[in-house]
Amino acid sequence: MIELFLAFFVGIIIGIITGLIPGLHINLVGSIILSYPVLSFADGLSIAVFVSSLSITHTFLDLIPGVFLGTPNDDSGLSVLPGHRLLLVGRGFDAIVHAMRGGLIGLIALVLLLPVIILVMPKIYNYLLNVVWIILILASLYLILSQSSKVLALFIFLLSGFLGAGTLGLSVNQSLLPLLSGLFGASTIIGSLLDRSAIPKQIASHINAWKLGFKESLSTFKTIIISSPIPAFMPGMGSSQAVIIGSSMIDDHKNPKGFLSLIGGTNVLVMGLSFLAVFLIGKARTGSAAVILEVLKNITAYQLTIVLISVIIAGIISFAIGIFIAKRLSKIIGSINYSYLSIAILLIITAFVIIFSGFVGLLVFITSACLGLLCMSLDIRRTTLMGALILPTIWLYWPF
Amino acid sequence: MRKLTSLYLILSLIGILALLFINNFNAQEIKSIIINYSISSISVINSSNSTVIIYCDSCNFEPSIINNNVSAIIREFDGSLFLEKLEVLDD
Repeated sequence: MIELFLAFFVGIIIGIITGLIPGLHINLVGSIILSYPVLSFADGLSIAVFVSSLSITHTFLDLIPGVFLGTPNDDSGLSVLPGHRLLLVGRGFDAIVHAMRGGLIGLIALVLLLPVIILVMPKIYNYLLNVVWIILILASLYLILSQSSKVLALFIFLLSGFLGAGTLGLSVNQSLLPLLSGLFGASTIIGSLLDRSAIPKQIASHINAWKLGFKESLSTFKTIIISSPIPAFMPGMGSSQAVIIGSSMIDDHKNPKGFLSLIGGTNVLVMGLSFLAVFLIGKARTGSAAVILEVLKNITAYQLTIVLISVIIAGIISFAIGIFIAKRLSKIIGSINYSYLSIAILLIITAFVIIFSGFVGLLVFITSACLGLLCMSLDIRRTTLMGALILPTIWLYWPF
Repeated sequence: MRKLTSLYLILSLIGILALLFINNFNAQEIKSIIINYSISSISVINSSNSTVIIYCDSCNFEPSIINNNVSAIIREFDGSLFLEKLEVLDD
């Protein structure tokens, strides 16, 4: 029992560190755990608890660099957009509070959905595999047709799709790192540098992070329970596709706070459901779930219960820690020279891309950044760039 | 502004075409290896990072390495294995 507690708290500590490192994705952490026998001394359940607490903590904490530094990974990628807009009007802390509140709602949704998913998912899983492409096409059509410049939106969506197809088939490690860091991170930073934006002194927010508004919470809850379960169980899908489906219900421009809440909730719910997928269908849908599947092989109901309890407690602790860190950062971020900070972050992301994905990854990164800037320049909503993941996924499931 | 937009468009198109070309080149290379060498069995030695050893009994390699294994990087996708990279092991 002591070993489980130790694994749980060490997972939280490492999750805080990995979550705050710009651009570092949880799958990379998972692959390091799997590739090296760093945990060979621990038993399977302790490793599963370690990985689940680490993953949820990382999922909460990586919203902070996403908003303050504009450095996304695939889970928090879209949070950069409304998050950065709020940061530039002095509301960066509020942006993080809304995203993290979404994470708490994701935990609640996970608990409430659990019995339904356990009963229904194994029965409809094979059927869903056949219709998932229709859901994605409908979400894509909504994404394009809801914009004022529909032709340009379609053009950007298709270009992103080709970029995604060209990237995801490459033998490049961590191919999503250069792709999404370029599309959403580097383009945001370069765009801000060209506009000579400066991060203003952040407004001292008196928002009570723990006080979840009923209306906002209900809206997030309803959206994520519709948009997240299918992508969480389908191969080749994940939080990004879930957010795109959800964005047809919560618009990032009209309701940026709701959209941030949607992202936080989706990330947590998809991560939690991926652990459930290991139990129900024996498939790993996230890097963290792959580690759990590897160490536990056939996960039992008891082990699943322990993992899910770890997820929920780690989520609540991470929320408190994340709010604490975000509050302190919001007090100093306005006094930092934004140009120097932006250039430093660009250099860090570029170094990460070269280290993990090599020079082909650098080509992906530069191309993605140019496409992101083109999208901004044409005044097209940047969620359109998610065509980079959506189109290859549609292609993967295309039955004809 | 218009010049910058054109620049972004041109750079994006060049980058995308280059990536599609690299991708296509890789795919053809893998296809030719699969055609040339009949693979008798696939044995997963380390499913964690999807590295497998493919036992290849009709590989047209140099005699010194004729009985050696071929290392392959595969992608597991819902129960099916997709070949991503093949190379001859040195030992």
